[in-house]
Amino acid sequence: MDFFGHQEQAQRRTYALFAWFACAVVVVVFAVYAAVTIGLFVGQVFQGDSFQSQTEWFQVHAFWDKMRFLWVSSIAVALILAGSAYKIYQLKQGGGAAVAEMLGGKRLPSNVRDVLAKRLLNVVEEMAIASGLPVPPVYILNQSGINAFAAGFSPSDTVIGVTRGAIEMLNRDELQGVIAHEFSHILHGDTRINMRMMGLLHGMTLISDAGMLLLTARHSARYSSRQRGTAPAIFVLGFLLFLVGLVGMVVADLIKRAVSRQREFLADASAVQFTRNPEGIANALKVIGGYKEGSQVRHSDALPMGHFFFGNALKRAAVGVGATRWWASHPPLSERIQRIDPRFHGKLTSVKGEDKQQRVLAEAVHAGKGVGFAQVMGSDVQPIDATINDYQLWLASVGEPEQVTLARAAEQLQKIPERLRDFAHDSYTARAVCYALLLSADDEQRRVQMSLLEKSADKNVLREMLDIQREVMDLSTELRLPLIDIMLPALKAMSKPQYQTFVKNIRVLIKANHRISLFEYMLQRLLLRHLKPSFSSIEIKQVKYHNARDLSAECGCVLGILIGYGAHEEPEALLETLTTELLGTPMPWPPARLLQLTRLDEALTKLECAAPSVKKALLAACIQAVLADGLLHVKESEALRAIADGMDCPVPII
Amino acid sequence: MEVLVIVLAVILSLIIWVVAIYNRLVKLKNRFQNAFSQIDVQLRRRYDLIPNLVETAKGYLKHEQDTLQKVIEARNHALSAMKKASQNPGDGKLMQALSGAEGVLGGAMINLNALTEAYPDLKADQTMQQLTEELTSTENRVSFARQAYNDEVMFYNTQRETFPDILFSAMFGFHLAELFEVTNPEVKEAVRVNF
Repeated sequence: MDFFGHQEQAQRRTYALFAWFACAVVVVVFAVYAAVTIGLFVGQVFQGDSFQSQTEWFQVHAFWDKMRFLWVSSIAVALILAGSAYKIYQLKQGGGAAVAEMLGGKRLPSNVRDVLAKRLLNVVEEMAIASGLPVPPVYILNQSGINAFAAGFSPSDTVIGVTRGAIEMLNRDELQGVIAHEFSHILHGDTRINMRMMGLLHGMTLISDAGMLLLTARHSARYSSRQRGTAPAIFVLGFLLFLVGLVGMVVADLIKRAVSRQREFLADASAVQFTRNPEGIANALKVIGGYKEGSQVRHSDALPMGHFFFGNALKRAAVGVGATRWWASHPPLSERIQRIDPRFHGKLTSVKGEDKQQRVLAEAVHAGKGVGFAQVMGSDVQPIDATINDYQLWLASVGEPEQVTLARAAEQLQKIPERLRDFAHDSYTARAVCYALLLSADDEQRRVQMSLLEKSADKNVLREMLDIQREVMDLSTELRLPLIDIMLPALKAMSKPQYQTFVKNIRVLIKANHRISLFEYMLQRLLLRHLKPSFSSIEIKQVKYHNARDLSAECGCVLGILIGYGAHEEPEALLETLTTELLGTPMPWPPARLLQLTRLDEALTKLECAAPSVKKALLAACIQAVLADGLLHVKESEALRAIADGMDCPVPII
Repeated sequence: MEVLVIVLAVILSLIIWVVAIYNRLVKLKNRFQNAFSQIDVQLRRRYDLIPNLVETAKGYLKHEQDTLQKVIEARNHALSAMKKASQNPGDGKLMQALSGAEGVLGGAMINLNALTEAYPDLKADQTMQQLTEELTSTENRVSFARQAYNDEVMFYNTQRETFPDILFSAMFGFHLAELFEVTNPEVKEAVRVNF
């Protein structure tokens, strides 16, 4: 299944999740009803005639009472929905970062200098650049267990969390395997489902919280004489609600397993495909199995978030055929290892924490300056021909990065001058790099841009900009997209007022540059689009368009601009061929006013809401447009990647 | 008995409401604590640069060991204050200690700069120039990170003091967070200008 297939499947799984949730609500409502009825009945028996009430449905004459059912079910449903709505709201405010923070994660600054932390950031960066995703901010959980998670609604708000145990206990290959596993979850749409699931299921657990409250409120209810008679009833009700809440929690857990458990195998397999190194992830799993802390995460919120993690977060991972397999959020370790490494026979040797930590640290320090970057050019890395003429192959690589791309990403990152990389990893100087990227090549316009910036920007940042300008100007085109990507985590660390000033300045620069190229325009759009969710609440894009014909004007705009950018001999004919395939009817060359960059902006915003199949068809047409002249120009292919990113289709570097 | 139902419903919505307030404060607290880690990185960078600078200056300033010693002492003092503060960013005492130590360090650096002016050889030294340049840039980075931190602290403090949060903030242990301001007002200007 390709990337788009996975996206469609993710959509269906989301519907399945809602259906499961609805069923669970029904089950819980009936359970609550039974609990309330029994509670009231017990109250009646205890209090005898003094248990009088003016409300008819409080008198238990028979088990079934329509009025009572209506009351109870509406209160229960309201409670569940309120709980879920609140949690979803809360998650939308912070996205993946909110989850990481709930788990006690601390954001790792991009310019951190600790060897192990730096190594982790490099692994994440390579992986993101290779797969065409924005580089996610990384959070560290101060836990000695070995675990990791990815959380977020969309690639823009996704974060990666890693425990301290994982960076201290895993060597580079093992760590890479774990991170590749997490990226697979992001690429396959699992993280979004996990977020939704967490929000929805929160309502279920509220019932048990309510029961808990009634149990503890018993004493306070007693001193009020008016309420005196009801105390046993409240106690029983509370206890029963607590039990019902447990039912809710178990049902919630079952849903989690049903939705996410099989995904772990897929993610493991993708990690192998991605790194082409089965040893890495298999060894990581073996280390978890042999380590006394396992993959445990000791945090009160780890229970509702267990499904986010790489390994079983809740208790020491059960090795062998666990007795409670249906209960675990993850398949047993030995089964996971066996699927990757068929020679594995289920025996895990115990790993001594300190020994392994020392080896890992020594290795990381030894790797020295290159700590971080993977050894470029292993034996199985083929140099790639710059003219890939098969658009189908290219299309198939979307969201399915291969090991070659990983090596190439490492290579590209190393090609970015070190000073520029340093600048990019610091939120103070990263702004300067962004401004420098948007400076016009034209002297006159650049002067206008500078004078405008002087008014609105901090003068120190201007100094930094002039300082780094040369490096930015000399940077080859293919490195500009990775550069923007690696700047994202640092820029996300700005405060909101700082961000607002930054956005204002970017807008000023774009407005003053009249001869801005498609690629430069896409760079700033990409930058702002990925930054926005960190500073405002997250909008989840719903699929609105299922047919490319509903978006013909938008498709025409994107293709027209892309074809125009490539300087083809017969652009009209090319557009006609491509649109015939895409829309069924040939489209005439659109008038110039429809091919302005602001139009492209609107078009892409709409295309974000297209069904995966529509995105696939359009992307196929775009790739064909880029390849039409039989040559692959870096400028075009990078513009294509930027456009694809605008539709959240991660195109790996080639 | 309908009263009971209503009371229950009110209690439950109150709980959800209080939990929401609590969560919001936790979020804002996490924000400013995360923002501090930026300052942490930048200050560390600065504290690493200063000994190099002093080492370079030593060769030229044979008779000014006292000033150099003061810089090193102030730097060590600031480093330990920073380490303590990063354990619990926002804590009033720790932050004030850090501000104070930074102020002293700033003062010591001004003296060193003034001294440098008097020694043209030192001023012309390549390494010295590079280090000073880097120090200035780091200084700017520190103030940017500090601004981000102070912004987040302000959001937190404001939220904490608005009704209804104020009713619960003390109860849940959300104390007023301290801004990070360098106490010596001259410092900001003087260090940035350098030469």
